[in-house]
Amino acid sequence: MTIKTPVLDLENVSFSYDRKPVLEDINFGIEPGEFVGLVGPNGSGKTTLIKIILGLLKANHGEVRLFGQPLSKFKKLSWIGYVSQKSNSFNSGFPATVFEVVSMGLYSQMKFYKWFGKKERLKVWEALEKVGMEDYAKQNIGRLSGGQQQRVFIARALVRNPKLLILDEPTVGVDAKSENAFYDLIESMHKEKLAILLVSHDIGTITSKVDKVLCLNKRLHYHGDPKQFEMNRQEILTDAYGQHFELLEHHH
Amino acid sequence: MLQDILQVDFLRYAFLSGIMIGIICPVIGVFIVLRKMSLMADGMSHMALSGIAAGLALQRYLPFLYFINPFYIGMLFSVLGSFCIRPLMKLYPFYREFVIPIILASAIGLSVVFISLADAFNKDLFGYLFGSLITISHTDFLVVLIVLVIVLGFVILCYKPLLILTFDEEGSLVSKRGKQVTDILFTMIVALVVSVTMNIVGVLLVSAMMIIPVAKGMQLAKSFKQVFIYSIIFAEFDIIGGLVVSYQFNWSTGGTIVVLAFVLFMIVLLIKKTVQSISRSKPVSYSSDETVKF
Ligand SMILES: Nc1ncnc2c1ncn2[C@@H]1O[C@H](COP(=O)(O)OP(=O)(O)OP(=O)(O)O)[C@@H](O)[C@H]1O
Ligand SMILES: [Mg+2]
Repeated sequence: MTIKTPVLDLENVSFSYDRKPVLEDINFGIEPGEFVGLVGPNGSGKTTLIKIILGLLKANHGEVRLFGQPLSKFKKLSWIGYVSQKSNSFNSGFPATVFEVVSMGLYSQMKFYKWFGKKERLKVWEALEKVGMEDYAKQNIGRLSGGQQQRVFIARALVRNPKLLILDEPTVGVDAKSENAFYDLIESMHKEKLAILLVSHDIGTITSKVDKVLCLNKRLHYHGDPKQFEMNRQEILTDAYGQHFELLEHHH
Repeated sequence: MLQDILQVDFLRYAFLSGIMIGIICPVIGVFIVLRKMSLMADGMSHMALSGIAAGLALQRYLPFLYFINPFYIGMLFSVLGSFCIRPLMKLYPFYREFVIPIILASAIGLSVVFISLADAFNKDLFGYLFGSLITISHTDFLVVLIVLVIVLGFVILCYKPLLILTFDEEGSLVSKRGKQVTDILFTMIVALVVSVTMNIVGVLLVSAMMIIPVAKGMQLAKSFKQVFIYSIIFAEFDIIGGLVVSYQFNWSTGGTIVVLAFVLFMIVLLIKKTVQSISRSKPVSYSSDETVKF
């Protein structure tokens, strides 16, 4: 059996905004097809970590490797699908249809001379169907509800057929029913051997679904098996979240 | 009138240039508006004005440089100005727009100083400020043609990065290099467009020409592609209509074009409101099968 190169690999990564350290000595990896959940209190550096992985921020120390290549050399950004935390970070008055928005997911991997043809349109329809938004294809993106917009952005990430899907709190503002539907979708993606990094505050749901849990607060306070995590949950969370973690946790 | 256009050189050039500008302005204007840079076009046109003023002063004090048309110095200033605006904006990422008044005021100050140096508070200056048909020469026409080719080439080649950067900078996962290159090219092209448009409608009305047709287009369009189409149609109407009217009545060209654009804008808004209120008074059927499916 050959050893597969990990999809993602972080080694001693540290980062600070100006002088304020936000991440210290982060080490972890994601294997092909692995579903990893990242939890941590507000301001613990989850979004920052993701931005470092995506090359939007540069680590002060340590190395990030994507698909075996150091970040500076990695050119295949199209292998990654990303849904950012603020789905409203986009230009919300933008006069684009849902179809056009999902098409944009393909743009960055297409050469500039490549025509957006039948094949591409088909991919967009498939992605829209996966998230159940095909009836809204001609709607203006600004006219959708927050949860519907979120689904469109997931479709935009999926349309590139990524090998690593990074989702930063994708279920915020999504109702309970849609949230279940969302997890069903993620699980089916997981079955198709897509590596997933999911940030969530919903610790209970995360631990029941993922292959690996990361618990972050500046440092990684836990890194490994979800069952183990569940067994020592109290200790780990007190360690990572502080004494009052219960205030931050949703109960289910 | 048609006879005149065919026979009189400057009129023919004015019309042909006008038609091309009716394409250039909205095509770039769409991205300017959506990237929330409308004021930047204004800043650039005022930089161009100070360049023109500098050119006029130059002609007065160094008459052997007569062959340098002040217009080209304006173009140069506009491009240079665009490179000042960008780094300044980076310094204040959350309050980008207040960089514009700084540039605007400095550019006007500079212009007035140069104009007084050139002793040019006269009719020529009025032409630069508000546009004039008579200033359009064969060379100007060729310059517009070249800019048209550059703009279309740029938008076609960079359409994809331009669109995703305009829509969602963070979520689009464009490489930093690609983003920088696109941004710099875009800024330079805005400066070029500002300078050529200036020749017809005048410095003070340039940004109106880039913004108003797009404002109308956005009212009617249902998709991003439609914004382009509508904006170009509106821009052509404004410019050709404005040129005809201004020639017939001997009104200021730039002023006529912009007033026409504005009146049409009001009409578009009015029509849209009426259509909306009519369709609202009809019973609407909501689809009831809102299935949740992921
Ligand atoms: N642009 C920035 N400049 C300076 N400090 C920042 C910036 N963005 C975030 N921070 C700080 O870095 C820390 C980590 O922020 P980050 O957004 O990564 O947290 P998070 O874990 O994603 O939180 P949340 O659960 O609220 O999304 C916070 O303390 C925050 O104050
Ligand atoms: Mg976050």
